Amino acid sequence: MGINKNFSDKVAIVGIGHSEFGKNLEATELELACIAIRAALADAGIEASEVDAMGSYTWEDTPEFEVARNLGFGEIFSFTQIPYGGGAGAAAVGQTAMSLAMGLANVGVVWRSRKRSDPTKRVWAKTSSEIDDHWKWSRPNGLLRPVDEISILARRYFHEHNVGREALASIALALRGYANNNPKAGMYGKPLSRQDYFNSRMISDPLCLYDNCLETDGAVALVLVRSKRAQNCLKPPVYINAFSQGMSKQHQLMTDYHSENPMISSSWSTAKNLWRQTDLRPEDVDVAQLYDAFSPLILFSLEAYGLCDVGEAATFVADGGLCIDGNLPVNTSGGSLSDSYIHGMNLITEGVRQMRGESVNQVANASTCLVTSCDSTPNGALLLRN
Amino acid sequence: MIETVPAPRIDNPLDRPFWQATAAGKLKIQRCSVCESFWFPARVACAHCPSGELVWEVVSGKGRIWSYTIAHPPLLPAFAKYAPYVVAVIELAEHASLRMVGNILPEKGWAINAIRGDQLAINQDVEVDFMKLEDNVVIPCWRLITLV
Repeated sequence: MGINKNFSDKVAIVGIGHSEFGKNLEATELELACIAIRAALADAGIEASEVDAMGSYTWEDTPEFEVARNLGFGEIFSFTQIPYGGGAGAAAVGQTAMSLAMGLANVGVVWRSRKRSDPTKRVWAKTSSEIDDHWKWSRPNGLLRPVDEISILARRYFHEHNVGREALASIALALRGYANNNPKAGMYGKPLSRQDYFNSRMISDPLCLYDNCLETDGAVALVLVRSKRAQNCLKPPVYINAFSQGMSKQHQLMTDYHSENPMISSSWSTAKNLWRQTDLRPEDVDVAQLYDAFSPLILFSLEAYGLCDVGEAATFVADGGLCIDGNLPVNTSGGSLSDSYIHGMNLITEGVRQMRGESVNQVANASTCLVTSCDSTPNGALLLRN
Repeated sequence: MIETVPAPRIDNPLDRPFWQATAAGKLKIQRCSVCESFWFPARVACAHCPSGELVWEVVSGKGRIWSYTIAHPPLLPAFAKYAPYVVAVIELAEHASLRMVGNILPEKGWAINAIRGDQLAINQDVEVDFMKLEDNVVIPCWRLITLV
């Protein structure tokens, strides 16, 4: 097939910004979006009037025109929204970058703003009384929430690889360790012991409270330009070395139980095509930010992206593989489990910080970072380098 | 938040035969008239042979547990009163990749929380049964053939 590497390193991330994160913030999602984007533009040293491309999620509630007119953007020549919730982050960046690489536009802004801490904002809580989409095959049975949908896969993974909750505890503890060293993390100052993990209440057995991400209000933004322009920005460029989206054969969103092998998620499709876009190999990845709305997604993603062998992820995490001195530091801000959950967009900004050498949990001499979106939806991934 | 159990819409032409069958106490799955592949959930066309006609066929109703979860609160009110309860994915005997989500009941008419998680294991044999959500809305559920 006609895969080439024409997109490799053509576009760089030159600005990152965020609003404050927290619960029950007073600011609206639009205000939070504007704060984050303004901060990202200042970080890059680029005027708002130069922005001419915009990218976000279909789930984003702040429309392009509101953001553009409030921030004083110029005329916009490319706007794109990526579907499927947590699957969208990497592709919102990647597709906006493609517009820039092709010369359609010059300065791209990608953002996600969400006030998620209100329990009524949870998507499952808005389930309607009659269902006609694919969720008609699971929600009437009480398989209601994303955590239930992932729990099914987690138990199957345990069964196939003869592992158990110890692996998930190792993930929760590794990420909490990073958060405890990150003053901006939601769980800063809140240590978690293995005993705390096993004493916590079940949410969807075998997944307990600490296998679930935080609920966060806040916004995150990134600024993209072509690599030539990136040389003249305030911060060192972080190049998009490779990007792909992916949707597996016979995929079904979240309740992906009907394909030949449901353990081969869309991440396997994304990974296959991502590694065709670059000369870098999985073993070249120095640090990774793996989408972690639920802890098992990290196990699944480690294997799908070739970061460890199939069936080996539990051993990998139990050996401290995700920690700062491990084989592959993962979710170094504390991730969605222990830093904050801005639908995966904050994982991309942490990837940028690692490539700049600015992370509070900096991986020494890191030169490549893999950032992934949700394993259990159609998704995407970015391979960043400095 | 809704107070009721969310019900599947049963009059969508794509899957109406499925719901007509469950209301009559039968489990029907689409099958391609050319390549004989089973498809679930309902499809517009066979992914293998676009010329094939999809025919609704009664299946054996035998299967085994592929995986399951045990749901604890927070949940929709209609389910919170049963928590914790089990929801499983069943692999049908006809084909390994033919799977359905369903509750597991020890006997017809029992509540969805009558089976405990510690009575279950992956690969346990089950048999289809049916539970009524509303008039005309009947969904498949599964009975364990032998308790652990």
